Amino acid sequence: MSNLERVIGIIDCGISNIGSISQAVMRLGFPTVILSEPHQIEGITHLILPGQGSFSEAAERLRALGWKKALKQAVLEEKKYILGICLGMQLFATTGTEGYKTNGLNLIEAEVVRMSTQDLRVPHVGWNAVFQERNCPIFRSVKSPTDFYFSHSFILLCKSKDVVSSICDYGQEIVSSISYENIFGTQFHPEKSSKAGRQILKNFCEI
Amino acid sequence: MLKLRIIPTLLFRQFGLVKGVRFSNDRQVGPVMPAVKVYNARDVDELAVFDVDAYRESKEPNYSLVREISKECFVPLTIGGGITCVEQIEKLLEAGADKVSINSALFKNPSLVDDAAARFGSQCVIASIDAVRYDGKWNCKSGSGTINDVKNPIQWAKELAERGAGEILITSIDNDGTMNGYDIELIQRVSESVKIPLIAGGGAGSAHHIIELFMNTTASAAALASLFHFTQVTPNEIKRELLSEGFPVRLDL
Repeated sequence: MSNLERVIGIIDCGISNIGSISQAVMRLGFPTVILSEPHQIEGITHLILPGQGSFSEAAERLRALGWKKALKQAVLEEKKYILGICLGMQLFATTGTEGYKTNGLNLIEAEVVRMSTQDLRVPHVGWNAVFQERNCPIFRSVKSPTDFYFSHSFILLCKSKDVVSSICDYGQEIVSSISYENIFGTQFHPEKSSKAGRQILKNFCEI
Repeated sequence: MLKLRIIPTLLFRQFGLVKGVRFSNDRQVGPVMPAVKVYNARDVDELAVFDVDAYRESKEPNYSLVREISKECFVPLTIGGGITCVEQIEKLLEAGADKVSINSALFKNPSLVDDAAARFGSQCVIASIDAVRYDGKWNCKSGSGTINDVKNPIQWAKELAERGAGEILITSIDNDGTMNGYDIELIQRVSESVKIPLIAGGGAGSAHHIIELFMNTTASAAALASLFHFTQVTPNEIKRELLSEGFPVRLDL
């Protein structure tokens, strides 16, 4: 795919502050569109789903606004690339337990649960070392380990280890990124992780 | 391993940066944007920017300045000063802030923390507390140190954490700008009262003070201004000293 054919779509459905991510992606120089309606997905090659706040509310919003159906079609049928960031990645799961038990997008088999750290402070906020578990296109030219910026209280538990592309340690092993075919997700915030974060976003946009 | 954070703090009035001693006698320390660019180039862990007049003067946050700052900042950006409602927080996040720091308005309306956390998530709500010592005890002050409040900062931090704050920023007014070191006792008392990350502010005058902070408290981060404004010390130099003492820090090697 040439750079001219790529169109990056950042999903703005009221579950995230998109200020930082849109500025970071636009600065990379790819054509970027902010998507506020599901039908705008057409013509987009690379989707980014940022997310913050509560799983239940966000999942309900994705469903009610028609995003769930549109994303499943775009990602599972049309095989568009998608990158979920933080809660955005968690929403790929089958179910979430934040707030109350809710169905996610079910793009990967996983569950979202509150982290169980004994003495450590929650939320897990700050820079933590990310260890790559295997080759993954979004980590191209990124050393292992590299510090990335995290800010979350819930974690993703994947049914299959095969989708886990990196981990970090915070009292327990935390899934810091996933990849499965055209689906990518990071628990950390690449848009706030300085140079290494910019490399991750660039890698995703160049797939 | 999670790293200890070094957070440069920028205080501004109108368009100029200032830094005082014990929240008064401000010295002008230059324009905002060049400082933001320098800190971003130095790849700091985070940046915190506060409008020190906003609350007292009942001013709206300066959204256009936040937008300008966020364009130059690729690390987490915290904005504080004059925040009184969720609508303002929404506009600040839209402008590119990643977290907001709320302080004075909470004395009248503590549920702003609950509302902000429910709407935007705890991770973007920093509850900030300025404390002053009287007879071996501490009291809170609001309005950039101009309004006395009877609340005890240790209890107050606990309440704000329970209401859903994602982090607490505790600043010792007595130590602020003195560059004589942090109020270790205050910081540890507040830190013990909460289970969320604590950012310590007020008093850093050398890398040694920051080592002292992390050796004697369970703070997750050190916020500092004077050391960077008035000396040649850089965040990375402090982190290298911390590393040599065995503390986990983020350094671009």
